[in-house]
Amino acid sequence: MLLNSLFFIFAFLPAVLLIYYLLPAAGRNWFLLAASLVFYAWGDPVYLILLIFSAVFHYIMGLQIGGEENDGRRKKQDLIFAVGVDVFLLCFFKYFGPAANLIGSFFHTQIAVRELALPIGLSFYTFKNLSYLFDIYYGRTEAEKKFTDFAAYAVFFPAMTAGPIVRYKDMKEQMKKRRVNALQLGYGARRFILGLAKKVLLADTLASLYGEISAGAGNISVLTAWIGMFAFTMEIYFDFSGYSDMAIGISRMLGFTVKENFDYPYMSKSVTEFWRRWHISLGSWFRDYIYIPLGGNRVGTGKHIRNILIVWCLTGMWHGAALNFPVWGVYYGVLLIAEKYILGSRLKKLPGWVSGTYTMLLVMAGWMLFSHNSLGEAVGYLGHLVGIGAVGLADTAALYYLKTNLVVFLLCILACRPGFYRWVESRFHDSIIGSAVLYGVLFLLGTACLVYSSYHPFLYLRF
Amino acid sequence: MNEKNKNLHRRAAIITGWVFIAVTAFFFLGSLIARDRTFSDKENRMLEQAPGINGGQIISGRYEEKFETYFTDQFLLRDMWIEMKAGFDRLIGRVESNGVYLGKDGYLIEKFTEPDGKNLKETCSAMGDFAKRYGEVKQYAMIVPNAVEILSDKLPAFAPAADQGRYLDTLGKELEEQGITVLDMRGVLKKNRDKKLYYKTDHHWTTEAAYLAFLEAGKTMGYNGSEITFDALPVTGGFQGTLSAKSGFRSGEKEELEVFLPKDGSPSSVVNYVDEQKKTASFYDTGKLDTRDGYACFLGGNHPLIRIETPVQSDKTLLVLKDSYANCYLPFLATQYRKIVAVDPRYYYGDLEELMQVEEIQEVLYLYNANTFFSDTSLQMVLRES
Repeated sequence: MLLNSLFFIFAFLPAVLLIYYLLPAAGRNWFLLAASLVFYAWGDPVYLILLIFSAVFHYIMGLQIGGEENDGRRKKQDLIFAVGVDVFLLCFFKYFGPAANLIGSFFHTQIAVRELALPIGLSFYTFKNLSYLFDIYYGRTEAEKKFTDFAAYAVFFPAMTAGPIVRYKDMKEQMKKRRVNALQLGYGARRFILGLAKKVLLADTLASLYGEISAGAGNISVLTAWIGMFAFTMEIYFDFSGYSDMAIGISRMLGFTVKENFDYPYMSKSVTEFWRRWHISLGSWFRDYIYIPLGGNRVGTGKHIRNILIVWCLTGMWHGAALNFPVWGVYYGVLLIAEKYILGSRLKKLPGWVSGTYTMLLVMAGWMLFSHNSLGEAVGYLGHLVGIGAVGLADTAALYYLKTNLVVFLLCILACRPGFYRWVESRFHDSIIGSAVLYGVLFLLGTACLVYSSYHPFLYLRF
Repeated sequence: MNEKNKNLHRRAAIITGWVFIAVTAFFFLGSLIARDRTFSDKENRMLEQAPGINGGQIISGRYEEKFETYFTDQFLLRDMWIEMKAGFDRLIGRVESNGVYLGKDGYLIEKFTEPDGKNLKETCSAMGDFAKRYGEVKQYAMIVPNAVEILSDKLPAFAPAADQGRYLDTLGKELEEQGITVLDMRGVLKKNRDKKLYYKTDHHWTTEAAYLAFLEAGKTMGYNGSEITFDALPVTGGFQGTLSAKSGFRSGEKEELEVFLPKDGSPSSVVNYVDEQKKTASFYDTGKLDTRDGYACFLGGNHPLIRIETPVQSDKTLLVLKDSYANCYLPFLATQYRKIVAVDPRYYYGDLEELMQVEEIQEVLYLYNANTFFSDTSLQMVLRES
């Protein structure tokens, strides 16, 4: 199930919330566990086995690693075993299809494989559950003895499909005791509606624009190419951060406080800062469990550069199986190294708008590597931005895209800035009517978009 | 923040929360309780019904998929939500939906997308082969430009529409080389742009535009259309075209639809819908005016094969290979030919060569609108030698 589906918002969510509120506190984790399994099984029942396996496996391994406090070697062996199992599962589902195709192409044949659908949320919940084992290993948290408490965390439905990658050490207390009340419900509902609006009003609108521009990319002007790149840049931010907002909002309605996943990344003044603000739960995962154990920056320059490149290659690969993802990751690795060793101090001296522009240009170019199906297409698109292969500097199509999307573009630019949300809060949050009107309108429009996406007028006798 | 403000702040949040729960629960229960609809008039399609529980489909995820479609299709006040979204789109300046532009003066104009060159070539060469096989039969092609070409000044500002005129130029040359006489209507239609040539909410040309084309074509096809005068008779003021349904724009808009009747009151033609085994003495089926596809009042819509016997004193016979643009055009032609056989290749599975023999065809007319012609794949199939 997706958080942005009518069925979730208007059937699953109200039903779950009402039962959850009526239950005594002692029964809520059980119910949460059951609801999460239903959430996952809905539409993907086969892979439910994998999810349950992951929960049970990490629960047992957690007890195992946590119980071997004095024996460093056995702890390490168990951790490596668990990591091995998880990496195997991840690689199997991500690379089985592509690898078979690759091997086939070497022998100039087609290896007939049944394309394996990637289990929904696999990358997210595997990383989440692994963080639990790492944190036990490093002594940052204790192994959970109560299976329900751990399992309810391991399959926690709001963060199941697209994160945030919540850590157990941040959830442990809350699994035992949390504030479930009308105020949390209110804050959570606001956050959920805001996320829904970001996702369907902004991101989905831009998705169709970028789709149209990139589909005709062989025949576009320089200005159109820039509009397309801007559209995708905004699309991916509002899509992903909107989804995170929805997850955080639902968690709050259930009484959980989940850490922020985005911190106005497009306000960054350097690429390094951008990655501290973008998909924070993933960035900190790689930092804590790969980068720092490799020695981080407390090693010689050569090793430090190696560490950065390893982390960023893996970050890229985590996002997808195609070749452009590791390239996109390494692109960032190189930029971060450059900022660390060459540009860093100079960037700080520049006026904010210069370093901000510098950052956004690199980030936007990065998204073009990310969004295309092949490197060739990505490079071709980047060429259009500077006039290579483009049809003139600007054409009427570009003006049309600008004119018909102007309102959405302006909203996007505003909604990237913290000041906008501060203004919204000061203007609407202290008034019952203001709050009801703002969130009422956003929710109605969001719902309208969801219904509209199923609007398929059938035109028999087309001509 | 002082105490009073803090209280207000909390109360506002709490109320938002309860309203959220109330609204979601209301639509949940409302969608459950409200009677399921089987058909959507607005979308002209069957709506998904509650799926039966089936173990295998649950495991494969098919049941859940169907159930979500069912839930969405039966969502409370579905049509209102759709209109709300269309209204929002207009409010923020969007002028395109489902390949339809919201043009100036209320015109909905279908986009023209560049044709698939290979398919188009195959159609042209099939037409050329056919022309060679029937060298003694005079062959004409009237590929009517669409509103996107003739009313390009009504497109929204800067709208990126492919240049239909350019493709019509190339096509014209190609067909002339193949020995087919091209009837180019762009000149006459552009000259008469002040008249209503296309419906505002539909993709068809008006009867008036068809009449202008009929007069113009006579110069090449060898008749004088102005010998007969016609009365323009509005048959409905409530015509709602398919473009408004397709785009969601101007969904309440109604317009006039006219038929042109000969003034002289001569005896009427006999229209024979061969496959349907139905004969009538009229070109019009006014019963269709109240349906969703009001344009179907011309000849009752599209049919695989129509045979028209006219009272005209002549022995000319004509085969028309056509799409629906011909439906309001055939009544004009019926004043010039003794017999017209109209084939719609998209629905016709008969043998064209046999038809040519049996009906003793003397002239052939290809009558299509450009949008359909450029994307059509059925014409070449019908023309192929059997």
